[in-house]
Amino acid sequence: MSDGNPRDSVRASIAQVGTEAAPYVTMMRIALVELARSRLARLGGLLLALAALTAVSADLLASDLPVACRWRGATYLLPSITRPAALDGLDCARMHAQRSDGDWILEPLVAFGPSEAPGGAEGLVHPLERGHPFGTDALGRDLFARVVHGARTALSLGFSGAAVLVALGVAMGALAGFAGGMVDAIVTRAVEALSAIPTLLLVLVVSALVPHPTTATLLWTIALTRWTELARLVRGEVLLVLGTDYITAARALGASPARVLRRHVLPNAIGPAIVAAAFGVASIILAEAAVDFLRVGSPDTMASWGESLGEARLYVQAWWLIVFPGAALLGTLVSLNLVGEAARSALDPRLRFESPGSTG
Amino acid sequence: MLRHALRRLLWALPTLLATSLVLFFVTTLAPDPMRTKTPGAPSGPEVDQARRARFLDLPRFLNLAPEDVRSRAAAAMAHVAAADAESESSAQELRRLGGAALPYVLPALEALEPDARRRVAVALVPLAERMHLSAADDLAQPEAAVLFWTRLWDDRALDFSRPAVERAVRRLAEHGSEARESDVTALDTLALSEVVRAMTPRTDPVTLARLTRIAQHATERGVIVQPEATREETARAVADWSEWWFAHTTDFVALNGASRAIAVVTETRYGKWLKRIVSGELGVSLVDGEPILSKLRARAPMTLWLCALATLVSWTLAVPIGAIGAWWRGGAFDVATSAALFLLYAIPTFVVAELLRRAAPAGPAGATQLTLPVVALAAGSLATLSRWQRTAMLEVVRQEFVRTAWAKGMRAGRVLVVHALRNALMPTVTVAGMHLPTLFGGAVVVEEVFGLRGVGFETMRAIEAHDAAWLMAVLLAAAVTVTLGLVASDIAYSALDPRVRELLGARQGRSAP
Repeated sequence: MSDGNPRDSVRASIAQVGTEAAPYVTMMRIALVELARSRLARLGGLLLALAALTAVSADLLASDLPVACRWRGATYLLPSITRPAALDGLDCARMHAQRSDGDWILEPLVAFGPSEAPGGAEGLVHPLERGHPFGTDALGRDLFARVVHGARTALSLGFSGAAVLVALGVAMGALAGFAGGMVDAIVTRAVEALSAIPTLLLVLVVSALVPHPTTATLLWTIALTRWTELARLVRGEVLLVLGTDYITAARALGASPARVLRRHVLPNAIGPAIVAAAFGVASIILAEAAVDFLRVGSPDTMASWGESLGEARLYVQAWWLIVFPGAALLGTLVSLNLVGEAARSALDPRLRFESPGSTG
Repeated sequence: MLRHALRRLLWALPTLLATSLVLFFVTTLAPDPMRTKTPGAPSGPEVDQARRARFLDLPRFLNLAPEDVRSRAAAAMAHVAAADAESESSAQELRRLGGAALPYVLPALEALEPDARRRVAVALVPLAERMHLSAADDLAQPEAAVLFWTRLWDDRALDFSRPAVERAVRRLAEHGSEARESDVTALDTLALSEVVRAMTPRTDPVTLARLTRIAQHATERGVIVQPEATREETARAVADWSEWWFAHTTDFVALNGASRAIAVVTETRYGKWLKRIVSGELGVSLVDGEPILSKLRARAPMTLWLCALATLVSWTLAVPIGAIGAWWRGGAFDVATSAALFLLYAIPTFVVAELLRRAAPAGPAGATQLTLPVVALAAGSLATLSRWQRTAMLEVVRQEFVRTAWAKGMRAGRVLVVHALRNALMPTVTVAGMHLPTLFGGAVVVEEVFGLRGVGFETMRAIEAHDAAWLMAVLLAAAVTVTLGLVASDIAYSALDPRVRELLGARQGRSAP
């Protein structure tokens, strides 16, 4: 780091040029502005935020225990989440019946949880009857609670799966593009082999073979096989970038391969990664719904839209079993597709300069 | 062109190998009966049998010390001779190995201590009875047993040579008789390799009855085919025997030289699994005991028709919709179809199928039976394909040659169809292969919802029964079809597009990458 090092002086002059030039706009910045301007993307984002809000506050919207209450001299805040032992075996209806002086109860929006009511189960209640806004399923479980809690299942599964998928896709794609040679050949073959296997079929088979299938099985199955498309895109980006002059310049300046990868190559993978994340979440939610719809694997007590839709097959007259969970599923998938589509066209410079504002 | 096609096909081989590795990994997810120790579960020999049928006793990828009849016989003999804790089970093992072990056990008798020699000879007495060589009572004395076995080897070593065994079985298969049958019975398990090979579904029933009787006698397992058995029973028995032989070959066959070197790779879980798949032996269905291959053949037409019709319907609709939408982009038609297809794209196939099934009049039959399933399956493809078509068309419309066509004063219809659409079809053809996995997955759901008895319907039953053999076969069939479909669409693309064709022609002078 002496003053005499020619490399340092070059760096300094480049830094100077950087500050003197007009504030430069990155690709990501353009894309984000583009994304924010697109009406469809905003609609998708709004829907998605709504779904996420529902998922987060599921216990406040529908639960068998109150949001807050004073019971037998003690005050409980959010017992629907903390589930204190003192309130075991109670639900809103019973608490109202057994209420003594000084007790008060703040009920959630719907006073039923997603699981079976401990009292006698009365199957297939019509919507808006007996306090069930969406009716109940054949086991007497409140459908509103199941839809709301299903959002939690679907989104948490979708987003965690997509995180793994994106990390794997970017890593493998960058590895293949950057290392080249034998590594590239192996990754490319793996990508081809994995993308030839139908996802839904694989998920079904894996849940049949694994001794105790859970939703985590499904998550890993999809994440470990669906990174291929993203890896292909990232690899393409990397190869494209590696041939450009600025990489040559960076190398000439003595940047280590790690720095080239981090500073110059990987930022180009952000675009495809965002798009892949949006569609990845959608595909995991879709697969989970399909698997539950077909009733494969062990019966899961977790609320799931697909499971409610699967019940609709057995009770044809119960239209609400297909309408409400179906609408929730459709709304979530549409919002994810809108965001993904908008991100794709915002990140594709050709589409952008040809058609300002058209995304859909 | 041909060279390109061949090279593309050749490149599919490593991909298929990678696919096989992935599928092999999926098979390893099924629980190992040895590890699942639940009370009341079968144990002992049954578990061993179940494990061996899935090759779980073998290492995964490399078997540096493959076991064969010689090593097994030597190990068992050592235990019996030493009269240690395992001598009882080892004596049983010796009898199970049977005649095939004699060429290795009998010459080694000489080298043993007198006591040890007696123990081994006595352990083999039940075998002598099974081979119809002597009655057990005659050999009750250890000394008599030792004398019997050493004499047998001195007198009849030649009968136990490979050519003699082959000749005996060939004679039996060609002109069977009681005497020839007892000749082969006397060889016991030594003749198994030839006997099992001679069993084919086309063997005449009487010979097959003799062969299965010999094999059953020697191995004390399996079924005997009766001469009046039906064709299905015969096929099933033959499949059962060849499958058993495949899992137990090295119990009765010695590995030496080249076969030992090859066994390092083939006598592994992956090697056995792959060999079985490549030779088309996919096993027997757990659901109804039918051979997988014939079941697959019976169920595939329904699924293939469903997929083909759905593809046809979705293509005939998707191409005009996408092309017209891109041509008048932003117009009323484009906006309307884009919005509708976007919604359709998000609706899961199973919801579409379920809604259609409800809308259908009760009890559809005959030719109309396929209509709604095809519509349900085509709906999903339609959304994807028309969007691809629209994107491809947008790309082409911008090209110079389209502008030139306009400038020449060509009619709009001609520009649209001849110049734009023809070129826009190419990329869609290429990506069409990529749509196959989604199509197959959708077919499973659609068949299940409508109760069509295709591959998907059977797959759902197999999932309920945890029928690993059928599930693997279906996954494999789907993956191979998709890989070949991708290769085909790739070759079709280069054959159709003159630009690519020229590029290939120019490149063929140089060495292939």
